[in-house]
Amino acid sequence: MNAFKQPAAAAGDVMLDIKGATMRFGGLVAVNDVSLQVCKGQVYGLLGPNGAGKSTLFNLVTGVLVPTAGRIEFARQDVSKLALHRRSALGMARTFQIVRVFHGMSVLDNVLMGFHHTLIDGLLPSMFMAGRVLRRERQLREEGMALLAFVGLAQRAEEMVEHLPHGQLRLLEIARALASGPNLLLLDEPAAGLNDQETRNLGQLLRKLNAQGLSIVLVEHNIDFMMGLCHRLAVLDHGSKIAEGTPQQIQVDENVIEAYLGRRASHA
Amino acid sequence: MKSLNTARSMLAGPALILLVGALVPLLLTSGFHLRLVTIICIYTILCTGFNLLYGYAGQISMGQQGFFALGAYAFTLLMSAGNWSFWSALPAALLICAGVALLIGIPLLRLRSHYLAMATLCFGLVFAGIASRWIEFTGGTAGMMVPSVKFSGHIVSRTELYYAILLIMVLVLVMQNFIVSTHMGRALMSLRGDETAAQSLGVNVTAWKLRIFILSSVLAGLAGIASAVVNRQVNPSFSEFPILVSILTIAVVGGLGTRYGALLGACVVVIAPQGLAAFGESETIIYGVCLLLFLMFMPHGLSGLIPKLFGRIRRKAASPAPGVVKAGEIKP
Repeated sequence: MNAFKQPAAAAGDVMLDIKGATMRFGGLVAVNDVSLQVCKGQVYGLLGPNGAGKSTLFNLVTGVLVPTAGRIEFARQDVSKLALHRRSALGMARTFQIVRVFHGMSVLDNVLMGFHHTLIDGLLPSMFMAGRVLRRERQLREEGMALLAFVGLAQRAEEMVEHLPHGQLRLLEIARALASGPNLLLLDEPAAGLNDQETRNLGQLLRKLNAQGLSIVLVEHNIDFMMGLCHRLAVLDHGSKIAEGTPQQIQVDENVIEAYLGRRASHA
Repeated sequence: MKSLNTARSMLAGPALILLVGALVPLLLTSGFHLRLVTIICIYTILCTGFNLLYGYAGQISMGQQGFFALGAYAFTLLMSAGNWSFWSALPAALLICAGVALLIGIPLLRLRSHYLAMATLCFGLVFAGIASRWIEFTGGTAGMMVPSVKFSGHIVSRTELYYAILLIMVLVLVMQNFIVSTHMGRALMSLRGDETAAQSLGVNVTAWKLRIFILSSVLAGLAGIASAVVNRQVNPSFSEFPILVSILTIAVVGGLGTRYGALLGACVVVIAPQGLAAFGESETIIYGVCLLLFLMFMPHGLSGLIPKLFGRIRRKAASPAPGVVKAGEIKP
């Protein structure tokens, strides 16, 4: 509730603080009392088998779902019930498990959507400040092109988004998320559907972003991808957090091995 | 440079339309033809609003004819019964349209696709019912006379009225171009795609739906007022199906989600029946078959045809006929 603005946080400061988040769908407990903290500058991974509750937890953090119990704090503000469209202004940006781009628009226009929360809201105010809107529009195009160049899509800027292959759409989503100027980038299975080369490129891109100070939360199935990239990992199974630690710790954790290799085998 | 380009692309089309439109009365000989061109302008204003709402933002409304009539009735009642001046009745009528759109938009815009279409259609039907049955207030099916517009004793002539409506139409087109070539247009197009993605990028989806619904209703009201002034009367037919059918036909023929589709569609819908009048009784059938052909072979309307034509010309220029190549070779 303490919504006071913090000055630029030092390394080690908590950026995302999940306190006992629980999500029930009727009788099903999808996320059960999960707590974890993501610090500034970290790459934080959420691992777990299918149906472990990773995506549900991700949706709680990004605001698509409201937790049944518990709190989610971002930059020391309670955001558990904050409207979806107010989150990007706080410095939270996301990509989707199944790519969600805007059809009928060019690649560049899709990236420019990321700037939306920084622009004049409303029809009448924009019309009264038409000159400012047009000048800003020119700057946006340059900034958008720079972002497209960063993810390697500059030469496709003017094409319709429908013409891009899946791997490039993933990069486009990341460029669009970066356009909103986030402090925390939330990626929902960014390597899904990518080939090995594309996955390696994605890893390099994320490392580069992290080196520039961006904090990242990842949900992913691809364990190799996660081990090489994340500073810290949490493993979910059946909605509960069963382990948390550095990649080295996670690799030898009994609970994790059990969850991945099968419970019955180890209980027998 | 890009912002200059944006500004140029916003203004060039409307400027050309204004120029051509200004010359039209000099070429026409009869008052009837001037009336047709005036109606084209009115339909363009009406359908520009519909195009922003449905073509760009993907929110269908079948109640635009209701707002068309609401604007006309509000303006007429304020002028005749309220004895308001033209300059106060015009903005007041537009504000009434905006207010009604806000009131019915808040609950209705929660609905999607055909539910939204049905609900807005109901608004149109209810308005037509009120207009024809509340006789002491609206004049019933006979409607009301609209006092002729005067400025300091001078009665505005048909030609002057046309120029005024032409100017309004051009301004509406400039506004539309400004909206669709900036972040506003992107926000609208994001509504027609993926609302969750739009929201997570900071687009207040509910607010933008409401804004564009209100704008399209105000433009419909503006067209209604223009129509009332031109026809010198209002009656319940303003809110009846033929207007809605015209809106949808213009959208299909002109092309949804395009800048000049409304104008192109309006030209066809107003002029084509005049040409078909020679066919007598089979006019309606021929008109209907033409529309069907449009739907089947030109899903993007006339606006979809223009880039295709340009493409063909460009391709011809790129691979010119043998004779042309020879001519080119001689030159250097």
